[in-house]
Amino acid sequence: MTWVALRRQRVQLITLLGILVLGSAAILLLRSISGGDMVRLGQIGVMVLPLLIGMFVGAPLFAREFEQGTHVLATSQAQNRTRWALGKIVIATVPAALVVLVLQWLVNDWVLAAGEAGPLHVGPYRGFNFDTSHVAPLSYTLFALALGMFAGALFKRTLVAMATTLGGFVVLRMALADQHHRLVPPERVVTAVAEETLVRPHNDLLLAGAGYLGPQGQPVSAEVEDVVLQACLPKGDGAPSCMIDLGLVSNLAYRIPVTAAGHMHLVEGAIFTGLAALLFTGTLFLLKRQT
Amino acid sequence: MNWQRPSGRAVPVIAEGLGKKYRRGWALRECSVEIPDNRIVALVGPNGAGKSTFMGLITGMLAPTAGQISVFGDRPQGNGLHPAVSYLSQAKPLYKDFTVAETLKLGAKTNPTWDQKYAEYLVEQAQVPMKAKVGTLSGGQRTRVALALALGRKPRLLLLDEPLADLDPLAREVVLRTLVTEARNQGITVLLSSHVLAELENVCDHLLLLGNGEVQVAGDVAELLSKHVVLTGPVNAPVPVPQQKIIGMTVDEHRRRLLVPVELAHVGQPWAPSAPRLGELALAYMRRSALEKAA
Repeated sequence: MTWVALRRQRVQLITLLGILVLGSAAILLLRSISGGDMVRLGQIGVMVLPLLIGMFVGAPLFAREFEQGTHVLATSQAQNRTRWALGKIVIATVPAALVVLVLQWLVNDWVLAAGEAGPLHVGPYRGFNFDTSHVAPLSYTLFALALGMFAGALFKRTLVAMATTLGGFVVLRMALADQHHRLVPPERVVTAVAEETLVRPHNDLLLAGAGYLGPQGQPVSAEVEDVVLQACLPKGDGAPSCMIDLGLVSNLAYRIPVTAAGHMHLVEGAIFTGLAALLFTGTLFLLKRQT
Repeated sequence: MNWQRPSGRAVPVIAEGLGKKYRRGWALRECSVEIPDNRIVALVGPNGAGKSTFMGLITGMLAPTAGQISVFGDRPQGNGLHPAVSYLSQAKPLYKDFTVAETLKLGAKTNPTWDQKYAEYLVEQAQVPMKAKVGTLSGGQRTRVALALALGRKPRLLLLDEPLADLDPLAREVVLRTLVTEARNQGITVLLSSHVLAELENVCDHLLLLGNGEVQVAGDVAELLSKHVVLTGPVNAPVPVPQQKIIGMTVDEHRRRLLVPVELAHVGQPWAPSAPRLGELALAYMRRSALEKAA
């Protein structure tokens, strides 16, 4: 069965090998020519690769079999349908994941070499840093592949499956990116109004929320905050004392520190990998069910 | 229910009140039929009669809505085809980018009962080059490769869904001859669905005729033919049997031919009795089924 899957998916495997060789060569070449100047280009490549793999490897995997009627050939042999499907899934997933991991490692090494002059100066949460490091590219790849396979098994049309993969992947990625600050518990930090700089989001921190506390340490409503700030900010250096006089005594911030980036990666990775597992299971169910 | 003969050899297919309903309605209903061992069975019926649905239920790709079916004593499941069954669908799907040799290798890798020498013999007999890509073969050659893939599994039941539909008459004859020879030599039961009744006539010894999703006629060809008679008489002679006894009637410029039960054979002059042909019998039942549907 492995031979059949390897032979059947030969074109995709050669394409993945080509991406690996050309991608690695391009990264090494650009790194040697530009130092850290073009490292963001490499990050964009690592960010986009999972989606492309989902669309061009995952979506056609079963949809093309249905379009060409060859699923009947595969399922009318003495093999178990689940085994046929699992063979195809493994032969598609393992090489794709390896290509992503190798290219990610090359790009991350380039980012580290660029140091603070490169993308790292904005910290782990900003730019393309979060999306291209830790388990993120791998979990995105698993999700995109599983989504493509599921859509292919469900709609039985390659183009529809590719479009579903594109839409589903982009929507979920954007939705979760917007909720990153909810994935790990933030730190509560209270500072004096005069130390305003501590409240402002540092580049390497993720601000989950901010506001002011009153004289008894109670939170101040946004309406009151607006009125006070409008009254005090024009006073320049006199603003902090004005704000204290009018009831904004302390700054309140909920921050996610740099050290929590790994934890956040694991939580997000678990969400994408869990969804991928559900979609892989759904794909097997669709392929196995009698109509 | 006992799915086995007293001899212990399981019957290839037994259907009991079998039915399959799609959104558009029943494709097959109340189908109680038995496909006996070691026969070449003609599965005939007009388009939409339920032939492909019946095959789909045997393969397990479709699940019955009503009734039950057994294949060599087992209930078909969604897990895969019964190991003793081979299925060649109407489209005869093959991987076009595989060579013929790779296609046979696929058979070897996915079937524990695979007979490589036998499959190679079938391909060589058809003079199909082993190194040729399947996509470059003619329709006839593709059918021979698909047949080699189906027979190489050494099945005891071979399901062929309109396998000759896209072949020219010469290729049809060759494929059919090969099929019959191999079925007889290997003791395979063949369920052969086709529209070309004249071809089935020479090869099939059992008939299963479906119409309107129901079994219209089922039985050994010799027995069925012996139960019917064709009465031929002048076109203007009064019909000698009650209308409801007439199974089929054809009229040309001079003659009228009536297919009726054999008990009505002796109606006297000017009607002359003769034995029907399988095609004629099948067509008469198909026409009657179409008329019933229209009514």
